[in-house]
Amino acid sequence: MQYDVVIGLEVHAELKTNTKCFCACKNQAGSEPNTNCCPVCVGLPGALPILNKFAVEQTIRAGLALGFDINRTAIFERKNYFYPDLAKAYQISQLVKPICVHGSLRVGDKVIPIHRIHLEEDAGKLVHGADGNTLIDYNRGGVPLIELVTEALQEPHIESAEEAIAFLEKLRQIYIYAGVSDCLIEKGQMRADVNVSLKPKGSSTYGTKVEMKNIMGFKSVYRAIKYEIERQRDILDDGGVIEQETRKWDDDKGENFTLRTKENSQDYRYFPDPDLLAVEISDAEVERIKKSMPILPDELKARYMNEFGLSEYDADVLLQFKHVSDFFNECVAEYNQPKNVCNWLTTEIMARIKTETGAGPILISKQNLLWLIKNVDDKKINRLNAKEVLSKVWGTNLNSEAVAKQNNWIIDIDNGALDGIVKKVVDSNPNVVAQFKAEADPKILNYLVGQVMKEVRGKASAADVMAKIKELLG
Amino acid sequence: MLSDSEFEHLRNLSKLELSEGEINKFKADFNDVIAFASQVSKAQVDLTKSYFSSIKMEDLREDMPKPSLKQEEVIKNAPNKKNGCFVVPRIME
Repeated sequence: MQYDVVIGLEVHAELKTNTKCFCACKNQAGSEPNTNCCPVCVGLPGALPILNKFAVEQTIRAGLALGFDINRTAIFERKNYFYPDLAKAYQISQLVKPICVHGSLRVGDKVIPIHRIHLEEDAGKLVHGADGNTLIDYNRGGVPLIELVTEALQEPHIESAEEAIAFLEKLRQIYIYAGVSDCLIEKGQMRADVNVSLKPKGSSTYGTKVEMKNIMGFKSVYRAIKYEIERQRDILDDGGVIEQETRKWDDDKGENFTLRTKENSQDYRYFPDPDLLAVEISDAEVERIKKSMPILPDELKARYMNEFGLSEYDADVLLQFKHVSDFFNECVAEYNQPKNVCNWLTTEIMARIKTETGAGPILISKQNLLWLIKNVDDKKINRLNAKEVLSKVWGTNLNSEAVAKQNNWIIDIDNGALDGIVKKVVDSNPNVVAQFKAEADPKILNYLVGQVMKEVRGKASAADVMAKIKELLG
Repeated sequence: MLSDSEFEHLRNLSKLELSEGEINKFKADFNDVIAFASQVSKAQVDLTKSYFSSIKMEDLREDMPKPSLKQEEVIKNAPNKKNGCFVVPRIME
């Protein structure tokens, strides 16, 4: 039987702030365990949460980046559950009046409706030991976290693992460009819960949803969705019934298993947190944040393609990492040759910074790179030597111009002298010339260009030399 | 009045093991608490108005860090600790 797949996403992202959501402890990963903690973080009796203004601002910023309406009153609720990752036995979250409602995200040709984004606190980190004990570090407890939930009942839906990943990649890019989160996946700063349901093709009745929580990494999300679609398809094809449940994805085994079924599903007993006042968000505040919004990837992409004439592919490569497109923007502001700058960035620079999980820093200054690009454009250094300079300067304090001079790579040979050398090389290679005349294949001339370049020790432009040879041979 | 099944549900959520005597005692206590709180529903209020108090976003806490507790202070009262962490029995969700 043919089925329609309906995928819902809940995406958590840790906000970039100095302090936690409800206390003034540092929001800082990588500290010694339990050193960014206070009585609020460890739920000591009588400790009172005090909401961080910037966490609210960052949530609004995330919402504005995705076209959300901002609620003018936001309320915080307690989500009660009994598990040691939160010492108070509840998480402060939002249910009835989240900060952002009704947004959307364009993925390919589809505009996926998003239900809400709310602000909540992250939980502490548990390390389960082999000795039957669990170690708890509450440094992450209380870190501001935004949860985005896609619309469950409104079309268009995310319908495949590929679309889900495209959604997540795009969302991650927007959060990073908006400056709301670094979204480092390997550090757990962005996590996704996925729900999947199948319905007979064209049916208007939704199937039973199965949820998979806290899947780490987009590759795992992809595999988990593929697996779950197949699992449900097999059950339905055999005339079975899908049970509403939460299943745990085991990335090592590449399969999922039942975590809890509806009968014992969590009962969170939400109620408004009496320790926190409702927050009034004025039009003026929303306007102020709107004005402070940085330029977002879609807008940059349009500018790269329309104003700078870059291809869509090149624009996407530049935009893949914010520090790369920032660097590109700075370079172009100073040297208005976007295509040339783009070529260097998407090839030489990308090759040096790309890692398996992302991209490292650009280890050459704007000035040093621009010197190379300009001087290649002005035919003052040939491209191969310029790449050599880049290799020598990369990650050091060396200066491009100094390195080029030191290696005698600056093209200072005058035109007359170059003509003489070209003539000498042509004259001393009659066989090659004869072969070229017989076959009329310009590739044959590459040998002569190589010989000239050898004579001038690379201090000429290969294109110039080729032109001179062709001119000489008529 | 709290039904037996509602009480059992709450006991389960609280992860508590209770003896027969405790069940009877807490059930009675619970019903007292609910009866006390139920007085609120008798209050004459205008439901067209909202009664919650609020704070302007501008008046919220600025995002400036303050010193946290020292690690040894944080875990001081923990009955079991290791490597600067609280130690609890392993519970997998």
